[in-house]
Amino acid sequence: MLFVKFLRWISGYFEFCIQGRFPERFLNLAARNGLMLWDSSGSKETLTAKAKFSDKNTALLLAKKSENELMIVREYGLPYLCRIYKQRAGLFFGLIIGSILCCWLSGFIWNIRINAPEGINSFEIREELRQLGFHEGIRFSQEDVNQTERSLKIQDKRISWLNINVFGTNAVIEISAATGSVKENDSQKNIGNLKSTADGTITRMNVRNGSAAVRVGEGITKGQLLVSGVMEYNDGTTVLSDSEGEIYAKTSRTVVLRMKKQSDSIRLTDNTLWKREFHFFGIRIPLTFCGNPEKEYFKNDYCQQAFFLNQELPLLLHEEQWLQYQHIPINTEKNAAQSALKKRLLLYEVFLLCSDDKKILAKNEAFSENKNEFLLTVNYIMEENVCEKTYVEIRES
Amino acid sequence: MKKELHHANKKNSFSELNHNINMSVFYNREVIFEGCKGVVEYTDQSIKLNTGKFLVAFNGRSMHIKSMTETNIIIVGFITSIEYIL
Repeated sequence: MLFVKFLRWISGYFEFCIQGRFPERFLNLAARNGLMLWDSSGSKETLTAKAKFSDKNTALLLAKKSENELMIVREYGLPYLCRIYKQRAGLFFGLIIGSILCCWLSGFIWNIRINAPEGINSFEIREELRQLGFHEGIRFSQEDVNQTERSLKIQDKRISWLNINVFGTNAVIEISAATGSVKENDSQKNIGNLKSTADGTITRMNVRNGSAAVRVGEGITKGQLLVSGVMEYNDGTTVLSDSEGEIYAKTSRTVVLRMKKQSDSIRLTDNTLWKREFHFFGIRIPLTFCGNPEKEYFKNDYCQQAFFLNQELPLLLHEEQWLQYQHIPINTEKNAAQSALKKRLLLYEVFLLCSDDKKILAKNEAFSENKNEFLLTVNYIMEENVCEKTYVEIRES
Repeated sequence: MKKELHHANKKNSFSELNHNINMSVFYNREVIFEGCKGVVEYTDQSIKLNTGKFLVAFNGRSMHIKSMTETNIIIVGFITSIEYIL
């Protein structure tokens, strides 16, 4: 019904009133002559109806024939509007120019929305895209979009996957963060040896899989084979397996903690500088006329996008906050340094002993100083699991 | 035999009478009338249609003609009675 109304509006229609002794005669004549009437309502000696613009002459003729008077009440539709605004040629040209402008501007990227995962700053991505020539105000080209996708993937190692979807004049960039290096093929992890991570003397061992290459009481060096994944049986057959087990050895370890006698501390001052830029359709309009401060400033970036009816507009307010800092020299006293180094040592031991396979048997601390720094040297005698698994790579030749 | 002939004549005349007239009434709001030969009276309380052999009057409130062609007509309104005027 809405479409019918629209078609009627396009072709134009008029509302009329028939007055006379027998308006029904007009109705009958209209029906016989194929005159389409709608929304008709009748009262005594009066009939109101609507008809198409093109049937106006027929309606007048039939009204005359039926000895009734036809009065046009109101006219509707595009032809009537055109007639009203015929004198205003500027409107017509404005419509044409507006349509051309609309078509032309539809070919540009008006807005870029970046859906970046946690850990990747969308402003940094926006800047990288700008360097690659993809910003608000560029003309849309699928080749350029593909090229930008490829270039950004190569340039930014944090990105594992990137896709630029262009919806009309909006570009939506979906990013997935890289989760780390690709894991090795599991098939290569089927065969492995256990090697030593430190020098020492074996105190106890528990080999669950593989053939042990050392015995309790033997001295070992770093990198020495402890358990082999190659097992030979008495009948001469050889089986390759993944070695498993724990080998504990008495090891010695020296840790040197250092603290400088003179160090620098960074403190923020009250001087803060704000720089503001207005980004409109890819054009940067500076609102603050000052250059970038050169030294001893930290920078924070803030971006505010303009919205209209939940739709992002190509208007962006970019603010840079420059915070001044200063170096404050700190001279450390011997007692304070000793106390601080002890605390660091305590923390180190807490983290060293947090695993079950390490145990401190004895330790010897020595505090000393040289020209520039204080030193805390600690010698540990420990019992620890010295096994480290190394995989044997087998390739087909 | 005579009775059968009379019955057949009666049947033929009945089918002839209803040959071109068909009326569909939707609740009391809309009537689609086929076989109309003209509108005799048109007010917002009554619409009388000519079928050639008799008149059909649709009485009610807010009665108006929704659409009309040479033989078909759609009447809309709150119909309270339908009257056959022979």
